[in-house]
Amino acid sequence: MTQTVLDITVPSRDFANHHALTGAGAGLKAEHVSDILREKPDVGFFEVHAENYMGAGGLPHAQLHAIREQYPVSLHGVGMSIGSSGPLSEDHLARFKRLVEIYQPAMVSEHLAWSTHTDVFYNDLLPLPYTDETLARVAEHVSHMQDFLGRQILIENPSTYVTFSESTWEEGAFMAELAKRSGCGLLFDVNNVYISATNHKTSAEAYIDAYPLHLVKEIHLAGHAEDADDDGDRLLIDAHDRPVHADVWTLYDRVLGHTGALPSLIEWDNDVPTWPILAQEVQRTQLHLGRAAPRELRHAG
Amino acid sequence: MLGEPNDSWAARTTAFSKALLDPAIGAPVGIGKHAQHAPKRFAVYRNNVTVSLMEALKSAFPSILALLGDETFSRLARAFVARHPPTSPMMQRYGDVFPTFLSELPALSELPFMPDVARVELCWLVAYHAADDAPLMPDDISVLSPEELMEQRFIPTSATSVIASDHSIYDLFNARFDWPTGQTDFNDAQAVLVSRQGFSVRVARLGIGHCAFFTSLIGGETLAQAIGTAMAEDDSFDAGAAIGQMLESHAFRTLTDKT
Repeated sequence: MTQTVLDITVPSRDFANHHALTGAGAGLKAEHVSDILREKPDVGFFEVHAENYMGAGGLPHAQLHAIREQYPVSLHGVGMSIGSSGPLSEDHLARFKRLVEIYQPAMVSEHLAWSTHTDVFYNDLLPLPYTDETLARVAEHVSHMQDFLGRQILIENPSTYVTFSESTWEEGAFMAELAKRSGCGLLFDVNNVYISATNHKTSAEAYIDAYPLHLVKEIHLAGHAEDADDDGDRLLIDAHDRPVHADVWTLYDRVLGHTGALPSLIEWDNDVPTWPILAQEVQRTQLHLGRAAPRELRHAG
Repeated sequence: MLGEPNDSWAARTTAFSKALLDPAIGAPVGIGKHAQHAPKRFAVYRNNVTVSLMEALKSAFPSILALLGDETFSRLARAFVARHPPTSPMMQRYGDVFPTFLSELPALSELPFMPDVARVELCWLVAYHAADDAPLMPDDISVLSPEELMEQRFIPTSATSVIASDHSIYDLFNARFDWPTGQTDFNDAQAVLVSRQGFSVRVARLGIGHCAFFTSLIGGETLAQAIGTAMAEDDSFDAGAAIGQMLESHAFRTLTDKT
């Protein structure tokens, strides 16, 4: 059967594999697909950026179909602009829903950020102040997206380079209240925590210890670049262009100490290495997960 | 869409977004290091936006990039991004007005072929992301009598397009694979057929007759009309070879809608 919602004509089908995400996964890069299909590596799941698969057909969909036949997939949106002051794009929601129907992802996630304003798309995850007003707006948008898709989504904590004078909420408390109001789950990006804590001279450990980690269902890990700000202070950039920093691995263990093992993803989106190098990072993640308690034990406590 | 006039978050995002694309506007007040003015920090967002969009254009137009070189392309791309930022998160469509933008640049008046090369690149992208239409196969037309075949009209796949130019667009498009070639004259009028075979996008050079033939068929004329149009353009037009290319290129959809 070929369905035609909007311009996506890829047929939907039943995938045998309906497993939830487990273990360590990797962000899927087109240049790795043939290696992955040939070697069938022991990877827990692959995550894709939804917007890369919103064309009608062609090679991107063929590759994702082949991956999805063998692995659980999570769908990570980078363009919904959940943090917008204006309404979400109904067209974009419809395109997103179609992907959910076709690929039956184990998880769906988006960001606490905005990228669209007055019909311009800025192609970046832009920051927002944490106020009662933005909380209400973001909760409304997350609820709308969940209602539209008919499933829970996870919202990811951002990496930021600036803060806003009008903010009245701590980021962690903002995320907890967002989850409470909308019923969303959380995606915890440990690299983002490290970047923001370094950039704003706060404690990453205190952030982690105060975070509503019981709502976290997936973890992200990535590499970052280092720059300097106006005063020559360290300014970390969320570049996703290198291996995970040693300090981020330490913070990851701290998170796992609170949560137990959780599906965890290596994101490497720029200066993409060969598949064996990325696979090493995934294996390293798996070693950390192996030392963490199973999540059920943590829940029992 | 703007929020209510009293909506402080909407006003905030308006100020933030204006400063993103226009360096002449300073970083917004009350946003920065500990919420204090910090232009270098705001510039990270400015840089992310502009550079990511410039990179998107480099990926979309590798032939223009090869022809102009990275420095010149980057300068043009930066100007394009400021004037024509994307209006949709569907980034695979970004750059659809890039050919027009190039055609209006005085600096490129000495390189009048650039807009048409960019048009071929856009058609390549459309084909790459196009729906997986089932192509017309020899069996689909072998069941027809010659008379029936000649009266047949054919529907192009959503990947198919023909671009004709006063310039050497086929040679110039191939700069993405092999440049420089040593070629200096690009004023040979060339036409190309863009189509998709399986998941591979093909760009084939068309002679005058074949260009007229494919243009007529895509325009909805019958096979007989298309052959007539082509023969009027080109005495040496070979209808058999053209029908062969029509099938081999997968440019047309199957006659019976199997879906």
